[in-house]
Amino acid sequence: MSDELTISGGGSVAVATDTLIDHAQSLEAVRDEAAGSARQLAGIDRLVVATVDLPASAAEAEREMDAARALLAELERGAGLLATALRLGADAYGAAERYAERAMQHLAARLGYAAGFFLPLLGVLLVPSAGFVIGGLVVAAVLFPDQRRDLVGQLRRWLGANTSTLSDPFTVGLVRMTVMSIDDVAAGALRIPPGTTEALSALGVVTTGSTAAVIATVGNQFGVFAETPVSVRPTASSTGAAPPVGLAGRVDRLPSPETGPLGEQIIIDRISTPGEPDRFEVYIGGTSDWSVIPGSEPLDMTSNVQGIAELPAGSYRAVEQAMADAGVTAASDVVVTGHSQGGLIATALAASGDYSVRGIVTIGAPAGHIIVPADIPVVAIEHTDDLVPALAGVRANHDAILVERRAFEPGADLGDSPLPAHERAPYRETAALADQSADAKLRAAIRSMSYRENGGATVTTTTYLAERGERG
Amino acid sequence: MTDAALLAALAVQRMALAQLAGRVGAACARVPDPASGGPWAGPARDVYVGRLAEVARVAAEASAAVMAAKDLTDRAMATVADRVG
Repeated sequence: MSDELTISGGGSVAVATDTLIDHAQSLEAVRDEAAGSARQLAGIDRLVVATVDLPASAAEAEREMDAARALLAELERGAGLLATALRLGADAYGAAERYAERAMQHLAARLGYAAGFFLPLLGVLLVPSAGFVIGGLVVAAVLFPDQRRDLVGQLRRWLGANTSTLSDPFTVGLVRMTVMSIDDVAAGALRIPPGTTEALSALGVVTTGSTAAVIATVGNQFGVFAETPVSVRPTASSTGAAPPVGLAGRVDRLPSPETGPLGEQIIIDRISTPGEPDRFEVYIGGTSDWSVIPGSEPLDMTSNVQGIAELPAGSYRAVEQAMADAGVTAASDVVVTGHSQGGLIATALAASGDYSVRGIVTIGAPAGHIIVPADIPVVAIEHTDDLVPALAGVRANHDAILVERRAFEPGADLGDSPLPAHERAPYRETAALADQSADAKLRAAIRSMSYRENGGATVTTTTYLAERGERG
Repeated sequence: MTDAALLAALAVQRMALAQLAGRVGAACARVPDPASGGPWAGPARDVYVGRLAEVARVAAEASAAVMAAKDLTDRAMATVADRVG
């Protein structure tokens, strides 16, 4: 795995690697030290007044000081220019990347529109062969019922067999562009004039969220992605934990529904300090149920689609209920950390304006399309070989600080997971690297979420289990 | 300027130069290692490494000049001290 991070966002176009930031900051420090040293040397130079009986060595010392002053001025200029070049390089790289992203988006939109426009023709051409395929599937389903039941297992095996392709940053980019083109395919199929969806996208009318909302609405007619009531209950409570430190400290606190005793998905820390209002840390796990038909698990695909559509997903309502139970009010300071769908919920909570959110940390979340007020620090950690964040399309929230890293180098052992770069463990490593980053914006965001180390805080940790109810 | 006053002025100068030498030395140490290559690849890397090496050279020369000024001040102090007796 590479330890190199790429940091962008925070309201700037700059895209910088950790090495670039390190070099720029070092050179800026050298520039400032050279300037300060030159001023100090000018003061020293006035201490000894030239007289006729001044020793030759003292006169030589004066000449060396003059030489040092000239060299320090040169050092100040050289280090400053190089630091500026690095910063400008980061800006230019970021601007070029954003331009290339827009160009790709434009091309994908055109291709999507063309695909949609010719969809009826493709349909006519494919109907005969589709008939054979569907007929074959029906016969196979009747003759081999066991295999039909094992469809989900077969899908998992297919994902497992294609892990390296799914974890390729090129595939991730392709998925991102495909997501952005779904509305163009529909526009082409419906014969809406070309460019209309692009214009509506620019106005914020057609977004990844609105596309997901259409999918949710259509799916709802067939019982797919259909929302239900949810309920939440606390399952355990304890005191004694320390307040979380940094990004990795928060990732460590995330619940693991797949290994938890009851499959709890939400943990809330209430941090009480004498003489101060209580503060809260909310940790939300990722998707636990991949079925498109809602069962008892609210962190499911239905909540994913509803959440991306920026609709009140079951998982979002569950977290709101848990927060209310824990004592979180609109005035309470709260930091929310989430993995995958948990990050989507965290972002939606911050964007809602219903809470006093001091910051959010998301890992592998499909939430880049949600705009969060610029004054709320957002640290979004994404792996360039993780497919899930790409499901939100091209990032629209440029105020978020985006920390990127490739989790697995080409040819690395990817293990058994179908999406290894989406797993918690590599994200924990990336979070730890981000904690060490020299990037000023990232450090400021982490600092704004941290606690004063006065030792007087009591942390009460409550674990919550959320469940879906019957559809009304 | 009397020799006694000159000796006192040289002593202050020597102390200030010793402190400054530490400061410039620390600045030298902060110059990124050109061998690391920095964040660039291809021809940009060569240009950057060249400029970085130049910055490192100037920093080293500035540090050496301050050190030389301090050593020369030491010698001047010894000369004046002899004269004072």
